[in-house]
Amino acid sequence: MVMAIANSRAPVQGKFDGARRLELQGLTVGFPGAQGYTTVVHDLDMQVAPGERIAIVGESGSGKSVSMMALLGLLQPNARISGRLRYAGRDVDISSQRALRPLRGSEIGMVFQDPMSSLNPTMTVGRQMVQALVKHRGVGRRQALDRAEQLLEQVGIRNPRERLTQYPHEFSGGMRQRIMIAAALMPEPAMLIADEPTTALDVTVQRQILLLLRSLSENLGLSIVLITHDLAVVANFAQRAYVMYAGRVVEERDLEGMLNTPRHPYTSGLLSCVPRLDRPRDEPLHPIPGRPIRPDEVTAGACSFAPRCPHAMEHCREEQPKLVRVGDGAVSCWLNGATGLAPAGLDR
Amino acid sequence: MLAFILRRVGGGLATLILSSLVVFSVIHLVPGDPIATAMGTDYNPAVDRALRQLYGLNRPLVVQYWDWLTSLLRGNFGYSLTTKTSVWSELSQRMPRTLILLAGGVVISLVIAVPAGILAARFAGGVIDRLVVVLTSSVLSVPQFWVGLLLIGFIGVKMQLLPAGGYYPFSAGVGQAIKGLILPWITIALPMSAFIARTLRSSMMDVVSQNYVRTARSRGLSERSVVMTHVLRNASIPVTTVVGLEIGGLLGGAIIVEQVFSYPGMGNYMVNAVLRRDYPVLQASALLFTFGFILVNVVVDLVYGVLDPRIRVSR
Amino acid sequence: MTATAGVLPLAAHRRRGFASRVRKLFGLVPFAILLVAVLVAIFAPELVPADPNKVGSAAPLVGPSAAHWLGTDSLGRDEFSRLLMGTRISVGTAVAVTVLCMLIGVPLGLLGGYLRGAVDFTLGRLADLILSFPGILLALVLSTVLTPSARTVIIALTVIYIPTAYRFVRGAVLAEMTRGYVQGARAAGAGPIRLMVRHVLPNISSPVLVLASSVAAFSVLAEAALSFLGFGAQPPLASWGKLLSDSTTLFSIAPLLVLAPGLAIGLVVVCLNLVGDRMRDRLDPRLRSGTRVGV
Repeated sequence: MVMAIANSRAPVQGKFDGARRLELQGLTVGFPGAQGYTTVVHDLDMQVAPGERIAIVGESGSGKSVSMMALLGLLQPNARISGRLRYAGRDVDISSQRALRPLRGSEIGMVFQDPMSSLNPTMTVGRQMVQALVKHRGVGRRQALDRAEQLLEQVGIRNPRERLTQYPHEFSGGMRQRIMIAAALMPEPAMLIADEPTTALDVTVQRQILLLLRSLSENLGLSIVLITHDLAVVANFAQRAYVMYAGRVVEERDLEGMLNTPRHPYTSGLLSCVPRLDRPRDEPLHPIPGRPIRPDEVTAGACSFAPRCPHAMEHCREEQPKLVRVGDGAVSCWLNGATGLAPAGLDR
Repeated sequence: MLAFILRRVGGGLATLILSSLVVFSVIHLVPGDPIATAMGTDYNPAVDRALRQLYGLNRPLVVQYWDWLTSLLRGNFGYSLTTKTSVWSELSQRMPRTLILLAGGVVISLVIAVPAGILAARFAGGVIDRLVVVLTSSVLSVPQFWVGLLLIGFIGVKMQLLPAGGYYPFSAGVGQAIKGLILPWITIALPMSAFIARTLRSSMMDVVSQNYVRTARSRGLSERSVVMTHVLRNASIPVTTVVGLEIGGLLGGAIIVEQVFSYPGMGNYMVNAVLRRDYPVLQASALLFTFGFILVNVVVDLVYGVLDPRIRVSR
Repeated sequence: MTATAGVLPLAAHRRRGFASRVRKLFGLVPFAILLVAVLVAIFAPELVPADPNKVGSAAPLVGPSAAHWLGTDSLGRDEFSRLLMGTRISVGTAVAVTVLCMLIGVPLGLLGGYLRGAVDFTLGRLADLILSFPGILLALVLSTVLTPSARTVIIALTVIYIPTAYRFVRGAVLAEMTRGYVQGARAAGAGPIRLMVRHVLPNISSPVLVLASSVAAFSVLAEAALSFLGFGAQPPLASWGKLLSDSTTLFSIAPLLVLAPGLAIGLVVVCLNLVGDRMRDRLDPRLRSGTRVGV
């Protein structure tokens, strides 16, 4: 790995060894609240294959960011985290900072939502990009800067040599997000977690950033987990999607299938609030009624989505459904998963 | 950056000229005639005229100001009305003493405050944190000179561990000189360190929850590197502001501490000059204090610019 | 959703039940002590057990006894009586400086913040000019211009703290002017004076009270320092600072003469700071460090 960097004139390469598969089993995260711990992520299972692009979709508060930050050990120390993490065939203790730190950055990079505040305002862009490499990986400063220059060029920043000596406040929001991406790529990670990377940006810039991430994934064999609240954003990006509601995965499937025949009422609800080009222009959008459930209101005695669900049945208010495999995906809904049938009326 | 430096230095010079004018004119508004005071009961009109001629007190104020300013620039600070000695020769002896006092005080206060602030923030809510909060608020709530008096009383007089005051020249032995300075240094350092420690504590707690710190952590930086390079640097920006605001307090502290410890520095010289209405001495020492004050403020501004690149471009 | 990663935890200061009630009760203690200090300042002549200025009524430097709770000073005067009378000057100075500062600083701040432009510029530069001197220097020079007395100290400290008060109030007004209710009052036809007095002033009253508490705290400390240097109240009157300067060399013989006035100062300042902190917390928990005005 360090050798590849040392040979820094060669094009930047990703890791194609195919072994770096990430598996997460039963991830549960709780925070101390007014009445003991409140669980915000319930029993999350997730797999990411090398080179795969995945989307985690959900409203704010659904636990999508928290679960990914827990994966990297970036939550407050008072968070209670349990579950099993396997990375590249080895078990990693998910509750130990010491065990997670080798993964952070080097194996799994992260790009955050707000590029304005996610870069240190008092440090040059170059220094922020090379710091981890120089400090912990023994790469020479000169070499690291060369690599930073190449990466900036690759993410579409002109005059990268000069730009390295500038400070974050001298860049626009879109530029900063490009820098964040380049910085995350510095140690040649196998995987990138992008937490709503385009939410704070203009619409046109959003598209550019997503295209950039997609081409990086295709060219470097990088796995990408894109966290978003917007299903429209992921349509041309991800291969597979997890839909989360109230700290649980409610549906998981290849994206194409999910967009065409959603199996969970929440997924179809999300889809019907997205304007689509393949539908009549005057078709009204249907926002999901009600408000998202609060984490402390979640019980095992009812489906969390039942209060907002147009298809809720009696049983939905009596027991939380489990995530069950259905065909090529999984869904947790009494209507679908339990019977294995997708009622025609659900697909709007 | 160069433009920034020039702007700040220029601003400092302008303030200095303005303040020299203020020092000069305020002292000439003083009621009570210095010559008459100096002669006391032996008042003699002829001597009065001669003295006014000698000190140039019979000329227009504008001319006096100009003369005063130009002779200051030539290193002539005039003569004391009470001791008749050259103000400059006295000041040049006393200035290094005050500078040593201040420099030592600042160093000690940083040595105390920086670890205390970092530890308190790192273990917020813990024993160290509470101790730091209680100790700093106690120190900031009592007069500085009282702390000095207690140190003299307990350590100097009761236990006889260190000299209770006075000045021991370095030429007569470095060890004794430093021993004599320890209590004054601590007295100067305590309030300053309390203030720095508190500011550092709260600004570190602020910075550590910033998004860019999370970013730094997500890159796999060790906790130590995160704190040393990302947190400390950003947390030191408000600390710099506080140090800037505290310089006045520091100079005031030096003046008082010199009085408490009978330390023959500039502050001591000036206080006595005020009590005796010795204008040349008062003018010169007030101007020097103000000069130092403005100089340090400019330096703090520059440090601020170094620490925070955003400052350099704004205004 | 933006869970922040913090390895330095912000302590969760949430207490309930009995503990919180005890805390609340303790929270009133500083107010009570300050009230007592003010009452002592007002009624000191009635309260003193002995004539504070009568020299030689008792032996000098005797220790505490039933007749002389804090012993006597080097001239045989009752220290406890002198301490009570000193409260008048020390607390009185703090009150006078704070009131004067607010009476002058707040209207000027309202004026500068409302009118901005030339008025604000001129006032701002004046404040800069005063602040370009170390505070103690100004106090010393003013003591030279006027004669040293308790009144001179009040004038000097007021002059020193007004610029800080001005800047503070002006800043608060500027922030307030952008708020919706000011725009609303304007649209409803409120004139400038009505706008300032009826709308803006009540809304900045809490930060102004915080400012007042810190001006008062620093006045107590600064008065002590100036008296110690000999620029405050002149003998036989004595403030707490003067009591200390009278007994600097007596610590080994009569430690109470050094301890008592210092502790009195510390107590009042601690209470003022606690009161200020409480108001600041109620106002905005984020304003942790606050403003500092120093001599």
